[in-house]
Amino acid sequence: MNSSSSLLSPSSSSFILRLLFISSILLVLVLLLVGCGSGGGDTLASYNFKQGSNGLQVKLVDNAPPSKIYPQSSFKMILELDNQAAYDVSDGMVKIVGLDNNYFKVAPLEQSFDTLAGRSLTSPSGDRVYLEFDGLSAGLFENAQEYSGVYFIKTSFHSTLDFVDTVCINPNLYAVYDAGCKVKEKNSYSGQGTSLAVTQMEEIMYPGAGAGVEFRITLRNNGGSNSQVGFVNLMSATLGSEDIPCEFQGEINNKRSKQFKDQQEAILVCKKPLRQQSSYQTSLALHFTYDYSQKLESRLLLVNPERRAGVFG
Amino acid sequence: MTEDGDSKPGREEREDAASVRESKVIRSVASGLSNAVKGVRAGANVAGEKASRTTDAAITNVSFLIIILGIIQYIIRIYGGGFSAYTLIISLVLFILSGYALAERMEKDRVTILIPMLLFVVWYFVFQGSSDPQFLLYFVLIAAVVIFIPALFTKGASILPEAVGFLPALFLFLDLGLLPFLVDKLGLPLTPAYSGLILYMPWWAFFGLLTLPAEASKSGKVNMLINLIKLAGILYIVTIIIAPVIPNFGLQSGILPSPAQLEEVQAKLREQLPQTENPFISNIMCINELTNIAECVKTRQEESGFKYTCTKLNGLEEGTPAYEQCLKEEREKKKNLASQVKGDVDTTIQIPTKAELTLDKNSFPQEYNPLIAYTADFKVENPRNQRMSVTFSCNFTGKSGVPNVEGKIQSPNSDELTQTINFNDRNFQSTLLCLPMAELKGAYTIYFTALMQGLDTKSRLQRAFIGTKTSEQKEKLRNTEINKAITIPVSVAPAEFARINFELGYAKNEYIIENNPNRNIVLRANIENTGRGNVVAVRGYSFQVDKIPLEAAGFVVDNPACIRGVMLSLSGYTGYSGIARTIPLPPCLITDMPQELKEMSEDNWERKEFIADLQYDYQLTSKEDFILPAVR
Repeated sequence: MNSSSSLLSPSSSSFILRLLFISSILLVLVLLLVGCGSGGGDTLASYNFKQGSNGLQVKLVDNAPPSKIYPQSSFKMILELDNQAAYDVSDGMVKIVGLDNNYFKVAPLEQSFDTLAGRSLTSPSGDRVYLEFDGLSAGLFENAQEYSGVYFIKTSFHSTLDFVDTVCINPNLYAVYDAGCKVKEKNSYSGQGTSLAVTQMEEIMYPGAGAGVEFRITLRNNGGSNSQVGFVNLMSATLGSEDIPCEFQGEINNKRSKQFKDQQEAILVCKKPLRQQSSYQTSLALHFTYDYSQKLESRLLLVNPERRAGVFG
Repeated sequence: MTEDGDSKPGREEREDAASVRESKVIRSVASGLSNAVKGVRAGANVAGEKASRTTDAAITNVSFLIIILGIIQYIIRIYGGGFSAYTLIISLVLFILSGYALAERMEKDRVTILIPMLLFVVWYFVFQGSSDPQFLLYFVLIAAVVIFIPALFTKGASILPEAVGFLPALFLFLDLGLLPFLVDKLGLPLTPAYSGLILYMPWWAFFGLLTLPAEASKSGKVNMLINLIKLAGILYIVTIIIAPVIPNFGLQSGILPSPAQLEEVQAKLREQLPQTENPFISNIMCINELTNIAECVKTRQEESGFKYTCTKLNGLEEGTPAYEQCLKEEREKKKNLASQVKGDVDTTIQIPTKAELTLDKNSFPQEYNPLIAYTADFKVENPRNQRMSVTFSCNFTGKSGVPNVEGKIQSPNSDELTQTINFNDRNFQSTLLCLPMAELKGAYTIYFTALMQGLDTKSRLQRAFIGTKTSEQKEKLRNTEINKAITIPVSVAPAEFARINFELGYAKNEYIIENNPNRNIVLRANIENTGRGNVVAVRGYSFQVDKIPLEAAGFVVDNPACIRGVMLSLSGYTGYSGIARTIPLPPCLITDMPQELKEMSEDNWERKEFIADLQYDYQLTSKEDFILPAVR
């Protein structure tokens, strides 16, 4: 038998079929692996928008401004503000800082924007707005080939944050026969649907005659180093149906308000004496308002048109 | 010997045969030189050969399947509009088949071939080939552990199959377009021939060919043909690797710069550096000054700078009284505050205004003839089309008691000794002819001078005005915004003949200016002669911000001569050598500034670019010695 006929022998054919079968199984496995990442079975109705740390997304629209600007030409800067948080943002303001008038004149340098609704069942993608800034380039310095100017787009706004969780209140810590709930000393959270988030809550029980419960709540800015939280105000705090007194750690005058300044984190302490001795589950709800600012760094490039034509080699 | 291989000798024989086959994989896949394997195989026993033949037949079938599928996929890709879902699926099937073909060749630990293949699939398809360094660090570490564990349990025997497992991954990567991707990312300028080599390679068909056993057929001719194609394939890959270094074939221009280009760049860099002693040598020489090495190095650097100025720029010989006087003057200048201001070259201006005056000694007459002139070439690069006026002159200075002789620059419409030309051309060249006005006899130095009038060189620097801020706010702005935005903290100017170096602010290198009446904002500057000629006159110097004069912009100074002035005579700065190297300008305090720069909101600040404008005359001189015998 020659080599070509051996290729087509019955044993070879069955071998190839077996091989193709194994290959197909492996291929299916590979495709399953590839497909693993693109899941998502939640329906819109059951989707909890108040999770994660998405905030107001600020970006410049592609080609506005263009990547290269020629001297004595006009251009547009278009800013997209997309509210991906689960809360409305209001009193919004955008400022452009750091541009050099010698090279670029942009007007206006400040613009306010209307309230942007957050993501919700009625508006699953959140509100989005575009702001336009008109720019005019001047000439380059002498016969420079280019000028690259870094500038910053600063956005500030006002927003809110809600935090709700079910907690176990059990002042009778030593009652081994109490079949009620169990206190969880520490809980961590990924976020409540915006950049400012309650990331951790510690629950401390004080048993005995003067029983009480203390919650130490960590508020953190998850928006990254280019963002800053201003004033945070605790508007309401309830444990079950009753108010719970809370104060920000380190505050002296208005203890329900905290100026974050350059800090990324603050701790709120809520304490309440307990009348009931048996264990029970209830909800802890906090409502905050806060000021927030974030910064986008960008660059305008002014180029010599002769460079494009190859005069400079 | 039994075929089922239960007996111990049978097992040993098969293991022998297995190890022979493993070595064959390396040789066959990596080099295609399977004849060498054939020689080794000759020593194997009959049972081993039989088992080997069975495996070879299976491998041959799979290899042919890979070749056929590879060719189909190649045809679909080339004639079916490029990359598609079909070609991807076929590529994945071929990827699995190639793993199987290689595993078949491994008698031991064949499963481990799958490890690198799976790792590749996970990285490329699940993580979308992420190249994030942090991710890669974790992924490579995990991959190393996964690869290492089987090696640990098999006492290293699995390393070979694991290494071989990278081959299908490599070929899948090549097939998906690794090379064109790299070419695109690295921006290599390819010739059409080389592009063709890279883009039109049926990688999988070639892989199938490489995995064919040395004796894929019983026909010797077919085997020879297969081995020749294998060899051609290997040569093809070698060509792709070495083509970039073949002139006019691989790359249109080399990736690496030529030695001349490197030298040019080095020279350019050297020119921009201060002309001082090599810091390494300074450090070595200061080793004995253990208590104060830094000060010693600084002193040596300064002294070597002075030495350079006196010898190279002023043309003085070391040890002469003039040289000592020059050193003394340079040290004095150093003490002057305004002279200490340093500037830099503006790298965004790659074509500065340049001029060159060169003499061609070879063209000089060998004996005196009143009609034969001495020639020089004058060349100007004038990228900003400045209107300038250049006056040329020449003279013959006699040496060793020989009297001086005047020279005349020949021009068609003038009887004057000098010639003046006005132009604003981007490139201007002129050949100068100098005739001696009397007989030349003996040793002379001929001097050609070009006095360029109407030159203008601007320098600039940036400052950030922040209004009234707390110390914390200021430092926060400095660290997060201003240090990114202020790109010219030290004044820069094009690499021309002379420039103004200047500083503005509270202290050297401080680029933030706040609204603080208790702190001095000082403007200090000097004119630095950076060329090889002489600054003859300063027709004007002035400072601007936002392209308007400083005072008109709202800056108030205590000494108006600081921001505007004229210096038509520079004799006070030239010393004995006649060349002014650094000319200090009067410093001043800025006592007030525009209101809008004083008041700003907490997160606001403003960038300002200050410009120093220098209008000046500059003289270039070129000289050459020669001796003429007396006329017979």
